[in-house]
Amino acid sequence: MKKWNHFVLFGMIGLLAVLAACSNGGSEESGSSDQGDDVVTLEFWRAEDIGRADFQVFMDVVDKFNEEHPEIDLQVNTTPHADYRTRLNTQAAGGQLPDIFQVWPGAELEPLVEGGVVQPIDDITNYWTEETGLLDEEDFQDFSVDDHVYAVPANTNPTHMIFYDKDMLADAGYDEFPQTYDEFLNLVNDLNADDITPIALGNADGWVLQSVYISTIADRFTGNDFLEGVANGERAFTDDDFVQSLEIIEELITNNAFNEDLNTIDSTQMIDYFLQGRTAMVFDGNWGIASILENMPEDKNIGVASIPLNDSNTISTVAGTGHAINSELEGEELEAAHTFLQYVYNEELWQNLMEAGRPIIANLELPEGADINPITEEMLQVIADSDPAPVYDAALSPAVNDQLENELQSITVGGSTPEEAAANIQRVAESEQ
Amino acid sequence: MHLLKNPWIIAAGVIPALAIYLIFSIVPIFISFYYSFMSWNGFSEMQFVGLANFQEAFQDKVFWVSVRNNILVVLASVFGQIPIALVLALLLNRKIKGAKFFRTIGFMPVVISTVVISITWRMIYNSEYGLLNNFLEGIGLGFLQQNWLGNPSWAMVAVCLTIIWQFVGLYFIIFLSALQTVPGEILEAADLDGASEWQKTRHIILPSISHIILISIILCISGSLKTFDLIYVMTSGGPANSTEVMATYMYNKTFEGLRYGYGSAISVLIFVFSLAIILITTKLLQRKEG
Repeated sequence: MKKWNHFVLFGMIGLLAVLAACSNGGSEESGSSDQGDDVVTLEFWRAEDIGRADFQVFMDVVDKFNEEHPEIDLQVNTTPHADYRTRLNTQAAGGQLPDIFQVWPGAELEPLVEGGVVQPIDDITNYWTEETGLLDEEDFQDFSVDDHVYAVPANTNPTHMIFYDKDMLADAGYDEFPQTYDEFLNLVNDLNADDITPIALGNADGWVLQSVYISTIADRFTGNDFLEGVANGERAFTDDDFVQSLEIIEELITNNAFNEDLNTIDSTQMIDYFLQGRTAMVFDGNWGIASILENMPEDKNIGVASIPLNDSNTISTVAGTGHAINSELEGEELEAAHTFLQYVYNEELWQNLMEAGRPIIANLELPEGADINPITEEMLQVIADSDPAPVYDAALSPAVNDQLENELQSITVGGSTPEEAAANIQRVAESEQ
Repeated sequence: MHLLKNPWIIAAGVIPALAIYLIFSIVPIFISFYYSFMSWNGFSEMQFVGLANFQEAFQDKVFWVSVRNNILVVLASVFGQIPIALVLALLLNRKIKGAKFFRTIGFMPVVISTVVISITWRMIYNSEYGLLNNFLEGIGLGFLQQNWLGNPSWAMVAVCLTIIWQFVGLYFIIFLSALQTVPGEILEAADLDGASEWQKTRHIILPSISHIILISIILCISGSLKTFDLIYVMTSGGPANSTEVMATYMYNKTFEGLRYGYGSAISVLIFVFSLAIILITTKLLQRKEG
């Protein structure tokens, strides 16, 4: 027993020594950077999407910035995607935000602006609009609140794409993707008759039916100005055209268009179902292509489309994320933050994003001889042929959006009829005003 | 030993822990009370709204669904975990071959991380490739197959079963150690008097561990009132709020809906409900004991 005691004692001493050494090292380091007159420290936060090409492209540029700017010490801090927004909102509520952080456009940016935790970058937007000509004034729209710009957009983010297995459709007798909604419903029924689940859906987290489905489907009925109309009280979720769009979801459910476990799997698993050949189609945002290209079996023959519904050809889309500057930054630090944004949002980032298959917002052409996957090319063509529509979660307040997602889920389990769902959403929307 | 007579030294030992406890456990309760009268999205100025948050909560159907589900969890825990654990403990307290092995198996779920349990059970319950449905099919009971977590009428049952499974081991170990303290002489005397196994269990063993059973019931109730992690990972309250409990509902409203005031009002209600239920049960159980 004595021996053990000694062992534990030495162990503890050793551990303490290591800890002490570490903390010494740490303090020395920060000490030296304090002494260097010109080193500015900036804390930078971003959500992390390990394994996604576009995330890697962005982080490569950030790393390069750190190498080329010894006078700015950028401390990068990434958080897994699902937790990032909660962390950001909680830190914001506690008044402890980092210097530069990733933000979402539209409705999610507004409370940050109202709370005064971010500052406009109006002073430097002419770098992109005039000096380099990479962006146009209207490109900043999604990151503008009350005529002030708060972040630079990098890519557009169409949230509705249909990826389908060409061979499975051909086996069911469809050499082309259906051109009308009736034809699409026939396809669903024909696939079911062949014992193939038509569409993979993973709606456990609730946002897929909202962002990928209803944002586009509702727009085909209500037109582009519906959400604006709701905001100023001219329109309502109980209007016939919005209810009709909810009826589409109900119709797909009653036609068994989805896998039975749609409410218990997530959006990653739905892509898996599709790639494993359990289903003939999957609806996802343009981001879905990253994991499809990464994981697809080589012999899979994939096509891209958008839902054929009514006369318009809209696809819900919004600017991808941007990076905003903490309102407390000033002087040297603010300058450093501006330098950072100007360095990162530049040709190299956009070229690389394009090659990674993201639809970018910038006046740039794809470099000649760039290696683009044909599926990506097809997707970019579908996007280019479409008109934009608003994305609901970028336009609605979190509380209304939350209710919308719940009601959509409720429709899938027969808990609400489309009319009841619409009434419930409208009730929350009114209580918010 | 002299040291412990000096109150200052006792204080020096207790105060750091007490201060941390006060700052992180007690003070936030009062801050929650304060927030619950406000309308606040976390960024903008707070607005005083009086009792509006509470009024809204009482009229909110989903809130009452979450209360109902929470009560279901409490009932499932008290009437599931405790009896099963007690029976298992009584069985394994005898000299059975492999008792150690069963003890380890029984206790295993308690030491596994809740997230692992949730994800594993989510797969077991999955309607397309899940173990449970495949098993039912395999033994010819295919008609019992369900979309366990996807069907609102079954989801709560499925969740409760998992909760029971998760914590049976804990009470099982508590009971087992209590059983070891039952005096052997009394049991021997009962044997001499010709008491049957059932009579021994009913009249000697159970009465001598009754206080442990009462404590377990209290632990069980308070544990299930704050249940959150398992449900959050397994269903996050869905589908369509059918597995929402008070804590998940509070979390969703506060951090996903960015309504700190309303969320605080709900947490105050959780506090009040829990306190009431715990007080009532201690009263009831004490009377029984007396």
